[in-house]
Amino acid sequence: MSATGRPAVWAPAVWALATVTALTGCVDLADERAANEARIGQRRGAGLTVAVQDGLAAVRVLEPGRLELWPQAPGLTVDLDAEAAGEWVIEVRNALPDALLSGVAATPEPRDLPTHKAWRVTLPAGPSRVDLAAPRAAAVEPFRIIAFADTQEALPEAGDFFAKMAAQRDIEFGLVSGDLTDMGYPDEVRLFQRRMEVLPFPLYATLGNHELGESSTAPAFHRYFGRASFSFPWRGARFTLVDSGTATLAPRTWRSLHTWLAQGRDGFHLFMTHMPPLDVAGLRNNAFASRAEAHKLLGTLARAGVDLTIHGHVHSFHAYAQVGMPAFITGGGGGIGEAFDGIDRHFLVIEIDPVAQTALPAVVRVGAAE
Amino acid sequence: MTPFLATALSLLLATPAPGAAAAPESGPVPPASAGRRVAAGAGAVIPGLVVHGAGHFIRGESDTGWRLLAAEGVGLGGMVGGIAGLAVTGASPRTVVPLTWMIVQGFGLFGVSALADLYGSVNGGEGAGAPLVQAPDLTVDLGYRALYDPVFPYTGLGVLGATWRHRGLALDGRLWVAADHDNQRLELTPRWRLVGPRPDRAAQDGSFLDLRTGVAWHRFGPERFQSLFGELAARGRLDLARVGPTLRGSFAEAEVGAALGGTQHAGFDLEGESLLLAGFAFGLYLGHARDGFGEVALYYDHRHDGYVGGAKLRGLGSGTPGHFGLRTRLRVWGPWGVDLHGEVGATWLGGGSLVYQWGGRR
Ligand SMILES: [Fe+2]
Repeated sequence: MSATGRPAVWAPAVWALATVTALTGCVDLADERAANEARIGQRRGAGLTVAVQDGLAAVRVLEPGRLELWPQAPGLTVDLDAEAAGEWVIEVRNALPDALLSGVAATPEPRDLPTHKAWRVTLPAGPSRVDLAAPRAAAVEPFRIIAFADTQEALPEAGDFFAKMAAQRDIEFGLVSGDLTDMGYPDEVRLFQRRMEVLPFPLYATLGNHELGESSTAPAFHRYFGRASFSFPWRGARFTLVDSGTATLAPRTWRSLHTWLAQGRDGFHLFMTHMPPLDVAGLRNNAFASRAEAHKLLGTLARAGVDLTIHGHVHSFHAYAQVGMPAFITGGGGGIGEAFDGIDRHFLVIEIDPVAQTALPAVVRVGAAE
Repeated sequence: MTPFLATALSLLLATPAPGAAAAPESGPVPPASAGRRVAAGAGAVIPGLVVHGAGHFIRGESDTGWRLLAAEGVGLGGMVGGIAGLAVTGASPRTVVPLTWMIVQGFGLFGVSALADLYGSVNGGEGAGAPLVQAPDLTVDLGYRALYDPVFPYTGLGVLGATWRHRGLALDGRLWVAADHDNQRLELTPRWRLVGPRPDRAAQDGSFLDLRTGVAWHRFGPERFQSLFGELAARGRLDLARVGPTLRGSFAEAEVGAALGGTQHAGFDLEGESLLLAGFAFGLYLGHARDGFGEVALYYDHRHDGYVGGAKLRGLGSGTPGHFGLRTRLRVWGPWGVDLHGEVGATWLGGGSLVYQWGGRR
């Protein structure tokens, strides 16, 4: 290389460096978010230490005499440690309408919404434990849930979508596979919460890439709705929702997943991410960033006996199979719909039989295409 | 090649500008003072990152400046048009392939025109490296790549590659073997050179157009799956000396194609899969000794398979984009040289190889 040739090399080298620097750390972006998420459900303040087991609820308010939780599961166990004995009000939003609080003497207080529950409790000084559960939690019988995703920029006009979900009979809860909002801003998350007020059942949601528009590592979703990777049992079945917002699973999430898969091995197990590991249209790749990781995940799920996977992100409906597992893509919340697919806004009502270990979906259309 | 890409490349890059009508590569490079070069280089950054060609306008090379600006315009048009198309069709699988090619190649034209402006306005083609106008008969490389993958435990790969050429045909083979994991990848890519340097025939410059087929097999032992893809692609290189004399020694590349195949998990049926191929590069030839070889290129590759996969980006764009890389090949002594190579996508990969190259000349 000539001496005069040398200056020519620096320009692209600087660009290369800039590109690489811009991407530095992104390889571990999801793990940074997962590390932040691990703190959800733990809080100390106002003379009380709160620890929600498995982080299954966000601690939304902790002020003298008042604790407010937003669960991501029908049942919760909460360890409390009060500095002094005293009276508290425990508010639970996004609760099952017939949820009961046990473990300490609790007097229900009326609230306006069926999913907003509150109890006046007297906490002893020192450790105590409260449980939130519905009477039928252990009854292993068929039940119905809703699944949807991708309300995104259509959230302000999604009144009819939520009204139609509210009109479905005998729904235990809904699962949301991400992209609730367009950019993940707090006011969008609050709007989603207001939309939920018409529902007589709670929603448990994982986040999508659109929740990361404001922050990739500490999204508002965490503060309002809690963890995006979690797992819970319900009536003989297990439900595992996992954060795939960066088109990958964080290494921490992989470790938790192995535990949840072991817990769900013997019964019906539903697995949900926002991004499908593989796009039904591979040439498009609206899916995980790495095919290798996508296959590692699908193989792991299939060998752990997962019975159904549900994903969003693709604004259409597909029923298919991946590594032998039945799969649904449902992205009909109102975000820009896929053309030529014959389906617009929709959600799924799924009847789950935990004994037969089967799931029967019905597509419910909303709006012009009903 | 998409009509868009073909049009963009041929109209904007390959057609000689009025001021550069005489074989641009051999055209004299007007000298520029050090001060003017600094001003042009600065202009290629501000406002050049927005107005590509600005550095060349400052340097007094307005023909090349206009061409770079036009390339930026077409690139932006491709990106905006492709993204608008995706929005209108909701990324329907029926239209997503040409639209994605438009976005990738539009981004490529945008990036290449910016880098070319920076290169040409500072260097002006003085002492520029030269391409191989006659392709080597045989190239063999052997090396190691370190890997940082948050999801897979492997940390290093041995890589052995070889290319044998006969007339227009090039047989490419590449084997990757994880040093600390049961993982192997084999890529066999026969290519046919439609235009450009061959071992038996010298070309005017380094520009080429290749049609390639290929097979890529990848086995993940402990994860118990293996994938096999067959692929078809077109890849072209244009020596940017054809655009303007200040760009002598630099080149741009573009690729479009698709791969079809499947993945088999142990104990389960084979399931079909597809993969879009697209990419672009901007590079420089290094050195000009007649028996030497060398080039460096910054590139984008849309592939989501292999060890690196697609990029994990801040914000909401992850999943669809592919990965970026920087590759350098440089002759050290006689037929021997080195490769330095890095990529970032879902994974970091970086390392080097020892290269033996027989035949070929500049
Ligand atoms: Fe999404």
